Amino acid sequence: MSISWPKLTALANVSTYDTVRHMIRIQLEADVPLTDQLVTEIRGAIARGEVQPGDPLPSVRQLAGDLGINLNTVSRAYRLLEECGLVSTHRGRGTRVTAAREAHPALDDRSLRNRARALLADARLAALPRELVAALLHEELDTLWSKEESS
Amino acid sequence: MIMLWFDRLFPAVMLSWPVLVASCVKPHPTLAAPHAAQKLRRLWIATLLALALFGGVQALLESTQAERNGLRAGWPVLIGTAGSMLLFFRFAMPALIARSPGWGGPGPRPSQARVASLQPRDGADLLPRWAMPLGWALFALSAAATTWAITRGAHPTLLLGLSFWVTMGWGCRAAAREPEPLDAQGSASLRAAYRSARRLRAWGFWSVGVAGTLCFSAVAVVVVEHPVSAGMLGGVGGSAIGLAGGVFGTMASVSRARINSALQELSESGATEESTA
Repeated sequence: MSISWPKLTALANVSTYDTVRHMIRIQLEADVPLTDQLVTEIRGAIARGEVQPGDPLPSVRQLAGDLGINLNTVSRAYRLLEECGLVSTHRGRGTRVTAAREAHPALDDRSLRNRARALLADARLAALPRELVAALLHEELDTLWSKEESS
Repeated sequence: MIMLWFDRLFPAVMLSWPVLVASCVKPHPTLAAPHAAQKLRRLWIATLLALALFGGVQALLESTQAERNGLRAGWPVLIGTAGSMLLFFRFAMPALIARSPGWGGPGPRPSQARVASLQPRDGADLLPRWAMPLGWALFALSAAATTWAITRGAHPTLLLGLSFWVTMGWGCRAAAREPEPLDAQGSASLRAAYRSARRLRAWGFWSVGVAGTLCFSAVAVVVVEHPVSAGMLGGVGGSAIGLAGGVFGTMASVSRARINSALQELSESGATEESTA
């Protein structure tokens, strides 16, 4: 699977944002489908511990209204997150985060290396400067692992 | 003269107010929706139907009931306030938003970057903790007083006054569900402005819900205890509530318009920064 340059740029734009907690951001003009962007953003919020198991997520109507996107897009994103076991939806109770980041099945070293290798190969093929790739990776690492955890 | 105002003019003014407001707003030159005229036409039709309903029932009441009773006193207040709210939120708001999105709508969305909070708003910190228990207690008191009055001869339709509380619940939920688009930076000032506007709307609905329910139950009691004053109480209380609702509605619209212009400015400055970078 290869990732095009605009797609990588779009992903970079999406992932570099998050200076404000509990906020998600999507790009309408990005090549990445809106559903995938939403899933990535909400997964990121769960991974960073900004939303904890048991925390409610906004209703489909609220999120779709705030983002100005179709209800079905948000609904589809929630369904994908549910299939991953990260959230659960119950009639009348809305959608809640179910999985703690510790509880989520961890990647083993090998599969993580394979995925990282594929992503970095795409970045190389897209002729991205090494410094940019390194900066993006560091930024994501800093965002996902707090300083306390690193130390 | 006072009775003429309470019985005929006040409900007519209240029922006409949404369509007058919507008609006075000029369609936005670029952002007006294509179906804006259709929505305004629907509002006109609904208003004319409501006016016809009010006029018909009022004429019937005046012709068949020489003596002023609770029904005659309550009907103009009910149709004037509840009818006006229905017309405004069901028909006028969609027409206003279609004509000019800055009016109560989700605001302009000039940026391709869309930002939203992951914090659910349903029922979140809209009112202080004591507000709903107090509202329910007053509702129970009103229901008991109205039931008592009905068992002593007041007209059963006065129970309709309890519907104000139901309207309040619906209104508070609607206040929380209104879209709150953020600028690309998710500015804290904008989020605070939304929170403040949300609370203002919730307070407006709560106050009108409580006051409307209390007013009707008071009318019901007065109908039994001092029938001559029932019409006056219903008229004064009802029109005061109606006018207060109108004021709250206008304040909410103004706050929404301010937020929209702030969002516009923030988005434009964000876009400028991005293009400069």
